[in-house]
Amino acid sequence: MQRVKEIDKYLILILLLLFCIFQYGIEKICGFTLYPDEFGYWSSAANVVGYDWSEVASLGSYYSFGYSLVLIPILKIFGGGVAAYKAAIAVNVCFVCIGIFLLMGILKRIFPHISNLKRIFISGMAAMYPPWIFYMQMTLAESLLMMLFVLICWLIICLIQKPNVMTAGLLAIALVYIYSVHMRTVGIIIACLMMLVLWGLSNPAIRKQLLLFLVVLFIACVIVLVIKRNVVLQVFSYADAETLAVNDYGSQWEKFRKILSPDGVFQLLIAVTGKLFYLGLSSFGTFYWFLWWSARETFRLLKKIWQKRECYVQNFLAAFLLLSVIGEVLISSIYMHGSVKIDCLLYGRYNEFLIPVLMVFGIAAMYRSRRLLYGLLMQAALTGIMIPGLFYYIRKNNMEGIRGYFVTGISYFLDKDNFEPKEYLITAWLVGIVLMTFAAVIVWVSKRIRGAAWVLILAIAMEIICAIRVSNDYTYQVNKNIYPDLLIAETIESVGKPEDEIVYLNEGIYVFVSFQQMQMPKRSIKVASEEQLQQLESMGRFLITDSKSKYNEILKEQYDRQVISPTFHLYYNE
Amino acid sequence: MKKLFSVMLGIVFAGMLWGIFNVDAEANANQSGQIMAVTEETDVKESPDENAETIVTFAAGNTVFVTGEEGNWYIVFYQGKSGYVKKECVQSGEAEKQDYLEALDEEMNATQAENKMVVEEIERRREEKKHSIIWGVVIVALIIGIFATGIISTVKNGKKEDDAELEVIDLDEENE
Repeated sequence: MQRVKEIDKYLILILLLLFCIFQYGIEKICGFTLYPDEFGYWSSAANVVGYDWSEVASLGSYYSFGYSLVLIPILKIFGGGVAAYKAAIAVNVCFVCIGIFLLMGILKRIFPHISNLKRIFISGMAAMYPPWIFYMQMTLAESLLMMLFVLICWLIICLIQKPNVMTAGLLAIALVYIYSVHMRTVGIIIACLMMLVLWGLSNPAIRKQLLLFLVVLFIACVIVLVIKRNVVLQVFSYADAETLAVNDYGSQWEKFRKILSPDGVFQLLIAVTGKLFYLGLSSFGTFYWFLWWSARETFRLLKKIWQKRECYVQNFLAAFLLLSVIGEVLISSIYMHGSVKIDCLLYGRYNEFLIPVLMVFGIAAMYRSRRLLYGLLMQAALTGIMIPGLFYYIRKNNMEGIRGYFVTGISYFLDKDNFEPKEYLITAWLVGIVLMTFAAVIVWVSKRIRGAAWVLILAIAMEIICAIRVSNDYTYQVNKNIYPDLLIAETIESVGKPEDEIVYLNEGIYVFVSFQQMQMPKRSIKVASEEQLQQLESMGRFLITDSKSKYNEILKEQYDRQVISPTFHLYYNE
Repeated sequence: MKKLFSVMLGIVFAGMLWGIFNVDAEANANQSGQIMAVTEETDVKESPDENAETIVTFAAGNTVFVTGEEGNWYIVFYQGKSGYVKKECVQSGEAEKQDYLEALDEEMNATQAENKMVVEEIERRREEKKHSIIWGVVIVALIIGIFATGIISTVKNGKKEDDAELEVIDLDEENE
């Protein structure tokens, strides 16, 4: 009993650690870090609550409504602004906490003999994956995606261990919901369907549950497609077809056609290599351990099905996870095909939601392995071999520039001002090896000393340092710059009446005006083009321009008042 | 005779000079009016007629001495002569002074508001830094606490078999 209480104490401390990370950053945050993605999610929620943000929303592309469902009650309660944003981050923290419990549940079901202490710390280490902590502090869908993927894995395990209609239905709903959160997760649905086919082949008795699963999946897909159509019509009604298609499947067919050529296939292979390079280094090497474990388990699964022997749940889960990785890496490689930014070659953001679950199995594989050093050397060599190929691809396609916030897991020492691709890749590799070695040493020490799973806290500490470093470079830095922009909305709210029209002059440069729309949720900001500027009287009571607008000098003479903030200028008459 | 003629000439000359200045001073001493500012470039006319001859042209910002008014024209006094300037081109010095003071007030208010904003921003950043330091210290303390608890727990529990942690078991290898 006492030992149980001691273990609960560790769980509480880890959850407390998460809460402290949230508190550390929350005062530094007031609004969007990534434009226009975050606003895309909020605008769908705003439409349901009754706000009209459609003109500003149409400056960006379509964003799936799944995460918006989470934001609806927040907008309803807080009404928008800084408070609503911070509340959404608090909800993201809850997702991470739920993720920890689900990961512990997964470990318990797959490895029932594993100690509670080990489960807590392995789950804690997986949940503190630096990009998860990074995305937790902004209202992107990534935080929810990671939690949903963990949930789906847990439901798959429950379904396989104890087939029943309720679990099958919930799994179908969870799969469709994750798709509605981000359309690129279609790879997960395909992976799950393939795994269930294998399960059906090995176990004819569960065909009723499978049929129900397919029926619920189909109905849920139809509902999602109908909702999506409505969202596009109502929220993104002012966007042109090209802008809308950026994040939709429509614009991907052209890329797919280009890939179906020898050069296209080669480019795809390099892109896949880049993703594997990133995922391994960002996860402290645990991703490679997972790959080894899942490949072995999947091979065993196929062998057992062929030999008509009993299959274990871990075999099916491993197959599902491996297929998910293959699907998601391919999808993100196809989507990024043809991009000129170097981060598109590595692009962590679209695949990172898989990592926490993969980390759990990777760490478990490390505990099981008797050749930690050998595995570490292999990983160092393989990732080292990837660098020349990646660098050749970068030079061949004249790729330049990097957005570090899309490759957060290997950007701890990114020098944005003096960026050199070769230097960056080598630094990322060296840092990755250090972190891989650190993780391997921690696991080795934990194995050597009985009851010392708590040593993993050192790995967790390293993850927290990495997460805070990358948050400092991006999230906190961006928010420090936009805090003074609150003056614009404050001025309008104090000086204006509810019926006053607010117009934003769109010169096609930036979409930061979404920050102002978020601060004034009940007012609808109209978007005007440069041609419309000829008729100043149609510009409404308040006119907002970007600070770098070429019309600022002229407008200063035309209006009584000018308010200046770092990103915007506001003009109005008394 | 010659001396008498020189003295008489000197007296007449002095008298003439005195007369000139005295007439001007008297003429000026009799003028009363107010200083006003020219708001836009304008001509001073000989008579209150747009077609009349221009005496001088004043630029915007110049000041004029207005002695009276006639219809839409102000009578101005300039270099001993009276002229006419359109009323719309001239405004009271008081009004100009008032405008100047208002503009000065506005600028001071704007500067004050800017200073207030800067001070608020500095204060906010200071609070934010303090907040981060506090929670950063708490995070470090928690990590050290967990580590220390683990060490104490391991030392205390020693090698008790019932607390033994089993390795991750591979079911396939177990059953093969």
